Amino acid sequence: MRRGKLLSAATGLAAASLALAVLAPVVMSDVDWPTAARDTIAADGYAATGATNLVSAIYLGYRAFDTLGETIVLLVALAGSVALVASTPGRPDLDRDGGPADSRGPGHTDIINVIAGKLAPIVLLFGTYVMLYGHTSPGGGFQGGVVLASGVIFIAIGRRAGGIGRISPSITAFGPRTLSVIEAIAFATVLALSFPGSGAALAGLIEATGASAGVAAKGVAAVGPIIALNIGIGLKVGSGVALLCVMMLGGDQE
Amino acid sequence: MIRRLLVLALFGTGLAGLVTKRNLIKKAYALAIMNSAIVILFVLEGAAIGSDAPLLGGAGKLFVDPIPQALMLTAIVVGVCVSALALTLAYRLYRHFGTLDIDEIKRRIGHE
Repeated sequence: MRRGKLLSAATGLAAASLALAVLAPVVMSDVDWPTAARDTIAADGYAATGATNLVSAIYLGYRAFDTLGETIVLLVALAGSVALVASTPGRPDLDRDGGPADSRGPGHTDIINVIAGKLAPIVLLFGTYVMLYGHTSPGGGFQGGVVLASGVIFIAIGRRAGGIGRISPSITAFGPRTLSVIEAIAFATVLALSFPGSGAALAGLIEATGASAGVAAKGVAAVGPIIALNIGIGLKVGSGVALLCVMMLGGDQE
Repeated sequence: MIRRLLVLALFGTGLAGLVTKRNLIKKAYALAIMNSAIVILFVLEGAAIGSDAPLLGGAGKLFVDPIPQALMLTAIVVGVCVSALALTLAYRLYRHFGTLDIDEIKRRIGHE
């Protein structure tokens, strides 16, 4: 027993010193952060992508393919989680007259019922704003998507027995099936927009239909593809995260 | 330097929690804390060369470096994926074994 404790203490000490050896150079480093990349993007980013939010200009303009890969990572992780949750045996049974949150477990009070239900539309509206204006203000598809997802979760937990806000396919459009359909369509949109030339084609289409009010000046790339990618990613992230949470709440077992 | 030490302390908190805690949920949160520490480190370092948010408009702004922020967006998304999968696995294990204690789960797997 004593020997085992000594051994684990020695192992822990060795692991801690190894971790410190890796981390110490990061903390001690006194190299100045380079400014060249920042200066280049501040000078050219707007003209090259049309987005005034330089972070959006990078992750949806300069390296949109990287963002596509990131979206695939998210898709795979959420698909794995949803499959694991859905196939778990012995999930709690739901009560007969409604969804899981109708069973008033601990923590599910009248206050949560009322406040969450009232807050949901505001959160959904804010999420839509963050998603749509990611090219010009802080935000974007990923950020807006998680805000949208929290709006759906508010709907899911803020239900009253028989009232609105039930995550049931028969009553609202926010059932698990609808969410997965939205996610699939949004991901297909992101994939289609990632084909070479499709962004330019979309920009040309927007210009041809005369809706070029967003194009600020000559020589500046149209921002349309970035907005479209933001919407696609936002809907995909929002419906994916919301689907996972609704399934963890047991909303698929109606 | 003091800021980096604080980030190191945050990272160390996550690492210590990951190593010493037996509860699977706490381990998942420790992973999230370590992820946050890395995100904070990158954003902090990128902010060393400027003071304004990287939004164009208005003259004479000294931007922070937007590249670490765009990179950390990826890191946050991957962190969310890791958290989701880890919590789902913990949920599944809890449903099967009725406990979140990793030693207890290991012992029961050995018995089966």
